[in-house]
Amino acid sequence: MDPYKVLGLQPGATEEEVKSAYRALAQKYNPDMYEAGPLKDQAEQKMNELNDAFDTVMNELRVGKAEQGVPGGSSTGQSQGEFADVRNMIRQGQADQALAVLQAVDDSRHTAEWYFLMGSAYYYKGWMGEALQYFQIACRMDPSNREYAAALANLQRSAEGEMPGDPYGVYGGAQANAIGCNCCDMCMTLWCMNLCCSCGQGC
Amino acid sequence: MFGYIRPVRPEMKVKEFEAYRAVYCGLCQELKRSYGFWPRMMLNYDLVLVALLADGIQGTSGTVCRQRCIANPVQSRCMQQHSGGLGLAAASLVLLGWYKLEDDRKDEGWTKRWMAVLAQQVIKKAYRTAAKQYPQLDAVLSQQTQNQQVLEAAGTAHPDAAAEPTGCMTAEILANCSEKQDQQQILRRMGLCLGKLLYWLDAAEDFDKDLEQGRYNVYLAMGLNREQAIQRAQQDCRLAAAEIARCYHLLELPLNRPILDNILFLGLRASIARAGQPTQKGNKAESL
Repeated sequence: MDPYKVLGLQPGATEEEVKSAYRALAQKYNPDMYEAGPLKDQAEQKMNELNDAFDTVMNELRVGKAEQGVPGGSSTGQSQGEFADVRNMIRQGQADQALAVLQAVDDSRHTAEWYFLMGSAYYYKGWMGEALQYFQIACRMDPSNREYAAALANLQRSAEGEMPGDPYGVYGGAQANAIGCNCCDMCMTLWCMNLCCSCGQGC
Repeated sequence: MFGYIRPVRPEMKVKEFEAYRAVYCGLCQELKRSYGFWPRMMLNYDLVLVALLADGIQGTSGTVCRQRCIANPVQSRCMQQHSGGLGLAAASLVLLGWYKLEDDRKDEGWTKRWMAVLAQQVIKKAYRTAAKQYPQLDAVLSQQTQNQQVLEAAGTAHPDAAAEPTGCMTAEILANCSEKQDQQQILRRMGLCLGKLLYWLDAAEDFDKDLEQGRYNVYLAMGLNREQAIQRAQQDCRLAAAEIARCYHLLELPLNRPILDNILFLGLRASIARAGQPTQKGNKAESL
């Protein structure tokens, strides 16, 4: 695929443009945002495509000079714990079967991973409210696990109203008014400026 | 569907608004051309999203030309001419309308039942045409309408379970927006979340009415009061909206992004913030 098309740029873009396009897109495709969900593979693929495109274009820009410091490409080496088969089931999209298997598990084996996988299965199914609750318990039981924490953080931010990759910013346009120039602000500014000028001239 | 998916007009560029209105008017024209006079009465904003998505993914924008229409005979307006997306949106609208009436026929009130039977007679031919063109979609909608009735009869008290049929219907409609399998997978998930979101907004809005008339409402079945119901609906909708955004970013969408950005990131959010307020159904014709 044309690396410029991937970055959404025209050939001949400057280094700055390439970097900022990369940063914006990397935020959107960041596989962490898709943690434990069914679209993670697709997001990773997009991210790899983007990384390759970025590498190619940057190499073109600085001929011969190896590019450095590309972020992204997060490690996905997941620990295949005791529920490896359930994990596979979920990854293949068989959320209902996975839930049935998990629910049949004895209470004594309800580990942090069990809660995480319950959450993940519900997430695949599109039951995000349930998923959130299970991720919360998984994180409480094993706060150090990066995978659980990422999954929880995503849904928690979503529940608070954040939409990933929002082109209008976190507060979606509403924030624009807060710093905007309404009538009052303008009067105030003019008055202040006037005050400064008058003082400067000493009259 | 319900009319919750619409752009926030003050945040639109004029050209974007013109384009949006051209698709809306184009959808109305498409209904007239393919299905006759009556199905146009069911026109609403939600399906414009389907047309925008489908055409955006295919990268085809139909030609736009100025015409007059019966809703506004004085002023001629830009209307998009036939496109694949408009065809899909119009067919979906007819099919959804048909199954809404099918559902109404099982309603308790006899006036509503007879109205539904009558209306179905009127749009029968349109329905047959649409069903012939999209047999798979017709089958899914039929199946899910039955599922919905079973769930309601059982008094399901879980919002995700109750919203599942609407989600599956919307998933099937959106899946028709692309022929590529990987895109379809994304579109299905997007549709699932979008459908459920619409269901919850509708349930929150109907809360008082359902309470009064003793009808099924998932939040009543859960034993919530009005305030709790709206809170729960908003939380679930926000989770769904974020997932819709995740899907949306992964779509290959060469066209229509600015308008869709507005609808999905501002419009949906505004609808969620207004959850439970009965302001939207009445003012259908207000802004265009």
